[in-house]
Amino acid sequence: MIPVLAIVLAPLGLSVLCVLLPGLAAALPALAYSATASWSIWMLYSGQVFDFRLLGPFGVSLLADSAAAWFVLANASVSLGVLLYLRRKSYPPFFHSLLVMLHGGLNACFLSYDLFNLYVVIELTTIIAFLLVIHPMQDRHLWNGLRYLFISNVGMLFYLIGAVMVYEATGSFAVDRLTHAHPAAAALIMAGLMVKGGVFIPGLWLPMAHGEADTPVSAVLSGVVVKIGVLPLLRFAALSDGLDLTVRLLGVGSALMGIGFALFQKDVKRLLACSTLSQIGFILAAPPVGAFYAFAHGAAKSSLFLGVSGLPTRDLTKLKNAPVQWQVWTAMMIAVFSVCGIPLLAGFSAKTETFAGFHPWQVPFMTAAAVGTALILARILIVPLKTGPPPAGFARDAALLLTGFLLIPGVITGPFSSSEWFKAAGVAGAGWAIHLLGVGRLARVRLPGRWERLEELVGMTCVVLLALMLFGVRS
Amino acid sequence: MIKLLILATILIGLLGVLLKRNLLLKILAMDVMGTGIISLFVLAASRNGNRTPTVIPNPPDAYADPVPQAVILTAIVIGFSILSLLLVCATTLAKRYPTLDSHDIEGRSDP
Repeated sequence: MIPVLAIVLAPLGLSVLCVLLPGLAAALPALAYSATASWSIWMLYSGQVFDFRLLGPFGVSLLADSAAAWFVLANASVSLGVLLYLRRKSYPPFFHSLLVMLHGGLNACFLSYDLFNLYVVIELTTIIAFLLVIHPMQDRHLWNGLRYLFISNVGMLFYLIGAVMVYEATGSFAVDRLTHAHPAAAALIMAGLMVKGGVFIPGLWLPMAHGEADTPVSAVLSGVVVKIGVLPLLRFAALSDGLDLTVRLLGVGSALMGIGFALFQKDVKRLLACSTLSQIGFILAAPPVGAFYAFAHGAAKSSLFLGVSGLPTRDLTKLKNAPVQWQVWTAMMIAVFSVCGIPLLAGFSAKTETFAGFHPWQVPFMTAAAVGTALILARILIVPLKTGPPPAGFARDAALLLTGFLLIPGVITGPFSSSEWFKAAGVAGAGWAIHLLGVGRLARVRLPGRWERLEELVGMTCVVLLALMLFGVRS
Repeated sequence: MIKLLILATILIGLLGVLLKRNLLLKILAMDVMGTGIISLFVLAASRNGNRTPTVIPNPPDAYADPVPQAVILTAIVIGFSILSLLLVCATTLAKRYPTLDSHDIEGRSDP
């Protein structure tokens, strides 16, 4: 019990120390991050499950199992990567302090197991993420942060209505009581979490928020912060067959929708953010095994976002002709390979496990989505290379560390059957072949920007909520 | 009856969020929605009784359920801090652009 509390409380304490001792602000966070990493690795190795309640029957309930441990490990790897990235940059101590606090808040999100505590820690991380987004204080960052906080708060208001309905029906906020309440409660709670997790249509705020934020902030947002809405959805799916089916449907929809939007993107970071939308769909499409996929995606996506700082341009149409330094390219290539599911990387093991967990009706859609993933990411892979020292913005240590986080689990767990290897090569090869046919030119088509407006986003969330209430959720 | 009024408050707030173009009014409409939800928790607490939940010998009538009241206190604080952050952000934007019309700001911050 004490280690579980320590990985939540130690980062929060260290964040205060970071402000009090500004000279150590760049080094202190490493303590918290490595403690988190070692705790989660130990949890995964020993396979233990801690389920306990603090402070009596109405207290906070926590659940630490292997699913939570994978999410916590994703948090640790992304935080360590970002810390290494920040090492030679001049970010103020306050920024480091916010990052450590966010780290603690995220751990708390992944460990909470009652509806109200989940609400509190999700809101805590949202507020810290908002402060990180607006940190440069330029106009577009302010607008981006305001939009993020506004939309997620509207989502969380829906969540609260659902939570009070569960309490009225069952007299408790425990997650497993969800199925005993009216199905509308589950619909409201899921709609709120979909907004937070960037799932399906309510997640369309994500491309702009992640694309416009500062590099390290984008890496943290896309790597772990979106996953605070995903783990609760995975836990709900385990409660009943009806909820499981709903989550799978949302996952398939989200995976295909993300690919669709990514085809039309011109900016590298927006492309990566759209790919996050679709990868979240992969996590949800097979809820029992989604946690490992979440880890693989977190490490790969943050490595890609940090790698963008080493590219000569963010414009994909110009990137085709601008030579990229080979070290930067190698780091990004490994991450892209992992996301596409190339063998010996974490993404491959995760994808094989996920495909084994699909219902038969999901397989054709998800295979299409996997081909689409290779297709959209080919645009950062197929670029001219050059030699010479890496650009100043590129952090080699961070890239090495995150690559290690992708390689080691991949080599340990990787299935070594040749049929899986051929399948992976076939899917990725199909995607890259379609790219070479000239699909990249779709980026010249400009999508109407209306669907990213504030009202449209809130309105679409309401529509999805109504759809969930009418025919989505069956307990 | 009270429940219907509370649900109407939440709906009015939601309509304000959807239909108002002025950023400040949009944010305040969101707070109206939040107020409705807080009342929903208070209503849930008073289902069995209204007396303050303190321990006294021979209570004259049933007491209110303390759990929803306790948790909504946290939600009020969170809602308040988010509201203040949003308002600070909106006023700073309004000073720089200078407009409060959300469509105008969106049009200009497009990359």
